[in-house]
Amino acid sequence: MTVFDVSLAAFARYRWSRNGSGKRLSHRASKTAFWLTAVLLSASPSMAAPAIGEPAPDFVGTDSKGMSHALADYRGSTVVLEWTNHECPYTVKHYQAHAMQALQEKATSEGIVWFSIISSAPGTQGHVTAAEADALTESRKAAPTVVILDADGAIARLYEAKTTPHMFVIDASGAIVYMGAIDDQPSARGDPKAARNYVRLALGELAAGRPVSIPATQPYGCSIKYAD
Amino acid sequence: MRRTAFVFAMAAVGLASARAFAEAPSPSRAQLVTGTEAIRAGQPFWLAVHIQLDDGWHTYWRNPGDAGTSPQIRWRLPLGMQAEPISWPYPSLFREGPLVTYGYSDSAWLFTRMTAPAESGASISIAADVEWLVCRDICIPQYVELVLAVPVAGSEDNSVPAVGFADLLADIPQKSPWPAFYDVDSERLVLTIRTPNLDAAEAWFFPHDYGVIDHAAAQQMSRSDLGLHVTMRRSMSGKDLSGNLAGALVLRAEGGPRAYEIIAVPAPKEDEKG
Repeated sequence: MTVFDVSLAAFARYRWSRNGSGKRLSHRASKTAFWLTAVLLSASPSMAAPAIGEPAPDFVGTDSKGMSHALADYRGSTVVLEWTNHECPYTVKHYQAHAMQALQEKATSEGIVWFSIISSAPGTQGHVTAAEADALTESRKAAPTVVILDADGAIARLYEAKTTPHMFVIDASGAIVYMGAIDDQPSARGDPKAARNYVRLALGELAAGRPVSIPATQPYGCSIKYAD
Repeated sequence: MRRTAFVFAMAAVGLASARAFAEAPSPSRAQLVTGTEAIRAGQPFWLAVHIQLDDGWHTYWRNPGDAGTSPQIRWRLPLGMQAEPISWPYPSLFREGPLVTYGYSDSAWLFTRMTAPAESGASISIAADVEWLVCRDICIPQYVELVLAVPVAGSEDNSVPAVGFADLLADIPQKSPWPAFYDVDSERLVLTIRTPNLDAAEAWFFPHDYGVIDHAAAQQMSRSDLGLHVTMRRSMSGKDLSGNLAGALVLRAEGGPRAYEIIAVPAPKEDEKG
């Protein structure tokens, strides 16, 4: 096993002058121990990182009603995972236009299981209690099957979820068939209904028995607010 | 308002506004800035969108890394004027929990090489719609419409001073004079710069494209008689790598950091290696 060991800190927000005076042009404390010369990741491969065509990592999540759901329970159905943060401007763009809700309604009406997953750590943007999550679903007229509260970020880490929104589509056999952005407009502006929605596209292709034509895209949005 | 040493050539400063969050003061501001070179008809010159950021906030590089979105400029230019793609100064790293993003704090200089129209009046009007994202513990999208009237040399109005760009342009990775290739397997990507002349205490490779490497994983630098090697962890869910690998290699050495623009070809087969 190779150990990766270069200091991340050397490149972390320090901009030396070209003349080598060593003066930092930008220096501030970070809320994380960013400047420690630590091995960020051991070289041991993580258990089954999400990959197209591979089994979606199984998890058990607790929803806003306190019920447990295991992904494996839904084998046989198409499942959508939607990482969300109701205060992130990119999420807001999709919900204010009622675009996300419309997709949820369409999907669930066709027997697709939709998990909205909230992985904001306590004290961070988007973190909600179960009651707040239900109130949001109501006020936004959202239509997921369940809202999963993942405040410790365990499910997010399992999926290497990075942004809100970040979308995964899992087919009835349990394989990941799409992962990435909700659509092709990585902007906080514009009308999501005018964008090419990759999830809608994938679900349509699955329903028609066709392969998913665009299986992986770069997700865009706010970073998921993991605990430090 | 932060004091700067810059004087803007007839700059019309647009206020950066967070579109959906108008009630909060914006943590960044953008201006169009020209360099000190006189602008001559038909000739190239440098223009920059300069984004100033409040303490604690950052914005993003062409590859934002794990999260965020890159700044976008939509130019509105007079007929006959050309804008090249942004020339990006090398980025810094930002860590948010397990995520690592690439971008800028304090200031982001989005340099653009422009060519002035072959014929123009005494001044050219350049407009840009700029969209960018600033993040700290939360993210706020920014959008502004900027306009700048730039005098053309030979016109009457040469009295407006402009910014010396030389030091700032030096942060744009210089084209690497050495050949580079890469080896890749399912777990690792190894970049090799073929020269004995490169040495550094540390190196970091920032790919231009998302999804090539695990942005958060540490990188390892080593040397052999082939040259300098940077070993990176592949993105576990990333795209297949084919064709050339492009990115910015930033070296930390005596005398300060240096950045090179690398375009690496797939490694030659064993029997072809020199």
